[in-house]
Amino acid sequence: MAVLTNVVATVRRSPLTVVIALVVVLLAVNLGLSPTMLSGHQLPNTVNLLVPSVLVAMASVPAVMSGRGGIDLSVGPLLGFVNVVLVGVLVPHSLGSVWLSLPLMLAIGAVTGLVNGIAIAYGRLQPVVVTLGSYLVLSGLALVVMPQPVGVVPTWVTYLSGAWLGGYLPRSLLLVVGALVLWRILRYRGAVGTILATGSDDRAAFTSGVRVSRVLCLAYASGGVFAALAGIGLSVLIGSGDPTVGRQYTLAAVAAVALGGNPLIGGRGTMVGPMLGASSLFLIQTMLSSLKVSSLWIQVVYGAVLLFAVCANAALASRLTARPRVGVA
Amino acid sequence: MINSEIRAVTLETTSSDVAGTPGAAPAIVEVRGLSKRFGATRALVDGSLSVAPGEVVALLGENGSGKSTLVKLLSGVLSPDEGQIFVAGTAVRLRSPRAALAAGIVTVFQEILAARDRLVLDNLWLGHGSPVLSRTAVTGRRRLASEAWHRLAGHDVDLDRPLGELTLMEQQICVVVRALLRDPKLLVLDESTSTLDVELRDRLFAEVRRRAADGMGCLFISHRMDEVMAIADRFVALRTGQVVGVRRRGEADARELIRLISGRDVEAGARRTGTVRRGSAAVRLEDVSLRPGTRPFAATVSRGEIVGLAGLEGHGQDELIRCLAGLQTPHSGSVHVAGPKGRADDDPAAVTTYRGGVARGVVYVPRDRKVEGMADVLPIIDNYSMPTLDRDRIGGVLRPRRTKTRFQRDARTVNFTPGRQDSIGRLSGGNQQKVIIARWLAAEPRVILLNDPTRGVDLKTKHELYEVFRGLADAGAAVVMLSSEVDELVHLMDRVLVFHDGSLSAELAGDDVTPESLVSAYFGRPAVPTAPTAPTAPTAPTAPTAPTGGH
Amino acid sequence: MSAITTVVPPRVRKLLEISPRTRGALTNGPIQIVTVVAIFLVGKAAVPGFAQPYSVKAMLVIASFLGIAALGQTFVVLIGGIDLSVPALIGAGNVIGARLSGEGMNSVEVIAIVLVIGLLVGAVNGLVTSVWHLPPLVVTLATGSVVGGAVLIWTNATLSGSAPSWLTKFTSAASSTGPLPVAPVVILWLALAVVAQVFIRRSRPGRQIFMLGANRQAAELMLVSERTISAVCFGLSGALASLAGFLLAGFTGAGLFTVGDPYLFLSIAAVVIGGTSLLGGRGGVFRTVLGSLTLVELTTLLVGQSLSSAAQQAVLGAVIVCVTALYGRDRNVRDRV
Repeated sequence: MAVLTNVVATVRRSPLTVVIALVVVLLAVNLGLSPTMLSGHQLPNTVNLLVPSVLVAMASVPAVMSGRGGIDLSVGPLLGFVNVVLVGVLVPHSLGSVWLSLPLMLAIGAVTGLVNGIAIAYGRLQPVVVTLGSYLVLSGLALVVMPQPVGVVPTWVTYLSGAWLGGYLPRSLLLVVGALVLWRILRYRGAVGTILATGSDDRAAFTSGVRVSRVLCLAYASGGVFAALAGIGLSVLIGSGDPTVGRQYTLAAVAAVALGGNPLIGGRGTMVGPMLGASSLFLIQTMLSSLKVSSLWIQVVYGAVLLFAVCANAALASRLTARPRVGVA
Repeated sequence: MINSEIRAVTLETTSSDVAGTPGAAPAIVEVRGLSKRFGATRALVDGSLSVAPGEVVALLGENGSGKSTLVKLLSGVLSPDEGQIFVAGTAVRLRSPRAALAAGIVTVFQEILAARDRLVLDNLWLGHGSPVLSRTAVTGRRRLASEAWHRLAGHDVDLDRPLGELTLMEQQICVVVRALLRDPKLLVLDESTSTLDVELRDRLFAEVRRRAADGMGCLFISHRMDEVMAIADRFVALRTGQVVGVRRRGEADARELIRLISGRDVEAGARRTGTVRRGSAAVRLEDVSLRPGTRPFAATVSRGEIVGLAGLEGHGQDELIRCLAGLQTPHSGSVHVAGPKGRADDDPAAVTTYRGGVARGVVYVPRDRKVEGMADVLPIIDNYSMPTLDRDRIGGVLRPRRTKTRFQRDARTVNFTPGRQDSIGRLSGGNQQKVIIARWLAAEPRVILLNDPTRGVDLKTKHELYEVFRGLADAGAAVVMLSSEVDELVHLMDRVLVFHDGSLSAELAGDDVTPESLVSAYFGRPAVPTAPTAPTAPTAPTAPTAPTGGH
Repeated sequence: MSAITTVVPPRVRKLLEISPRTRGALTNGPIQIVTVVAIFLVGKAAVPGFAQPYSVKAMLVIASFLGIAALGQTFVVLIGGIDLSVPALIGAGNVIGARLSGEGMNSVEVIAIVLVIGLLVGAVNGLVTSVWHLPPLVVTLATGSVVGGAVLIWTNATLSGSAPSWLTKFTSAASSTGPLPVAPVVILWLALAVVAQVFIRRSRPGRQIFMLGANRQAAELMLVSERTISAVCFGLSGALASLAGFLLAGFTGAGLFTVGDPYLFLSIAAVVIGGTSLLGGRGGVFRTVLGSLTLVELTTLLVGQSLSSAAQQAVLGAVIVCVTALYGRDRNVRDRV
């Protein structure tokens, strides 16, 4: 009995409740509509579509966690830029081998994130401004490097679009696994805790000897690496270069973070939540397309679900964190 | 005169602490000639100070005297313009808090600096590097943390709760324990006792003493003379950025120290005398119980009196004042406030909301100025006028001149002189509090609720505020004031309601309000009537004069 | 004081630090004006025809569309929020205005409908964020998505309707307003800015906006109703965005739902470049006027440099960050302890 109440309490306390419920329901509906969605035949395509969204949601997480209005609007263009550089620069210069191009792309992500972080931490500029600036810079640069969608991806990227075990283990999941491993390492090193502490109260962290500026740089740089992985995921998905597709991922990523139950003011949050949030946004899309609903409706449903989910998250959070509020009736 | 004193001080410190003096242990931390300016303001001038192993040094001074600057220099938050800091005889440059911590100087700041979203455990080990944590290291940290907590607080804590869910006092304990876990060579406590209740404060002092016996030094800063007298071996007084005197324990009494830091005589701890002219009842509490299962009680507050709310932190006084303000509703029972005619029987109405309270003339000065009391980036005048702006409208358009005129009038009442500062955040804590009180005077209050209004306010300003409160009561308002300071309760209150375990445990009035009777009531013991002078009380409550309301 | 001078703070750092007083003076306006003038002079020197009357008039017209939308955004930013539904509402105002005008509806009614729709959507944003304490970023993203989608469905994602002829003239760079040699839309923009300035300085809700933005909790205790003020600010933002969309119809000729897309970040950038803090409580509407001018000048300058639109965007992004670095910097963590 006590165990049961404990479990119930945990479930109700968890910020993930809403998003898990959402994913379960959407998955059930999707499977009802097209039972073959998870078959070995279709699964790789589905997963390939999903991977960039999940990774780009992961990319926004550290920035949001780091607090004081932390957000990274540049993750979408960064993912597009990485894709364009791979297809438009590295491949033509025969630098497409995995040992060269993979580290290079991750470095692009890390450096971009680092530049954002430096401008925010040392330049003391507001994150929205800085990452909006890099949003514009990166989407402009992508178009300069590659004015039209063209090109082919290197073979190792094509290889990632396949699957093992007769289609039941899509290889693009390796990218997500890579990101999770990196996050896990950061967690074991105590870096995630420090990012969260800084996000919760940077003055407390600073006076306790945390090098706050470095922590911010680390947060944005790790986000950049995740965005670079998402760029590889995009290359896997589209098999070529496209300079414009990346930016639409930014707002979806913010939505995924909020859906996943991470407060946008930072200091708290999980990595799993936003991943599930991205998945549920994706499942809405597949549901609508298998319902043969006009694509025009997607935006409306997107918005409605997002609104509903953040309201539900907030209702749950306010009921459970029994913090005395200055209630002025 | 001041100059000669400074020179003497400098001579004394340099002669006694220069490295190489045989016999004397080298100071843990010594600062020489430290100076810091902010623009045109000289926050600290040629400050020198040393703390020997095992020594507790009290740093005394009013707000703006340079204490906080000295603390920030020692903790690496700021860098000095001139001067040097020596740790164990070696000159060091403390470029960041990290460097200061590495040098063994651990500071607990005036404000509770903690990551409230994180767990208690994370907070206790905040900033302790990030080793690859093995399971044993994690359990080791847990054990150390809970032991340290238990030793200081005398009870256990759930290390896995987010810190923000704890009470203010527990959060304060957390930052103190965090400092102790670092095994400081020099522990700097900057007003760290202001949210602790008497019991915990004594436990903290005992812990500091225990550690001092092992060679730790402590720099202790407090506005409360009784605390300072209780713990310090040596007193260093600062005034307008300069060291104006150093005394050893026993060399000076509280009065002498107050004279040093304020430059004049200020009455401390004297019981106010004179008869109270009580008017009709303004607030009536009927069968109020604050929490489920606590004993209901009744009480009345009349016009013209100052009633203190007291108790150990978290025993119900805070809930009561919030209930009176309409910010929370009592578990059962009701709060009635007299109507505009000032007679409870005329128009007694229950107050259930904050706005309803304000409409009936109940105003509330919150405890945490920065969070609830003001917007520190905004101008003083906005912070003053916000709730009463509709008085300055002519034809729907605000007339700033009218606001200004009103402000000048109310500022005079609270003894606040507007200076050149524009934003309220630049004012000292005491002046901020005056502006906040002036704000509500504009609303012509009949009941004034003050939630620990002198917290972090220096002695001089404190006494100015007392005069203001007295003046308000004499003008016919009912003043209810929560206070965590025994001296203040003894000095100011006509009556004191003491809370224990969520209910009213004692009501003290007149000469029954003594430090001993208060403290025993804090612990739920029946009040002993009169008693001789308390050993901790700074001055005997026999002084014939008291600063009664100037009006 | 002999051996003491060993601790000299790094000179370089001192040079980079602007004293709080200077920073206060900078954020209080002059530097924004200087920026506008400086970019104008650079443009005059670098781009032939930049300072010609026609080109100035054209810039003012373009700035007025951005300026009106950014004016609304300013209110939201002042209470510490952000409004991402601006582009959707610009699109909605544009499409609704053109469609209804094309069907022959009286322009006064059309404007009223457009304004009410903007106001309502905005008020919903304000109420949802304040009642449930939700992040405005997400809420406005969601409502923007719903509104944008609804417009898409309504128009079937095609160009539709037509602008009334007076509106074309109203927003034409070539036309003038009485004796003034600028298009009426510019006058409208400046008049709105003056009204907005009076509103925030000389009205009770106006002052309450600043209090709410500076400290939400304290504001409640000072009898500021978070719901009312949020609804007002977001409502104004919505109404002004849809108005900007309607006016844009005069420029574009017909209703197109994507017309608002560039304004998502531009409206925020105009507010920030003007010097209003995204943290709330600090800023003003005239600053946003200057911010809008700065942005339009910059874009024109970059176009004049015959940069491709992609390269323009890249440069613009970098410039926004640099300009903000002049006066939009946050306080150091050291100074906040």
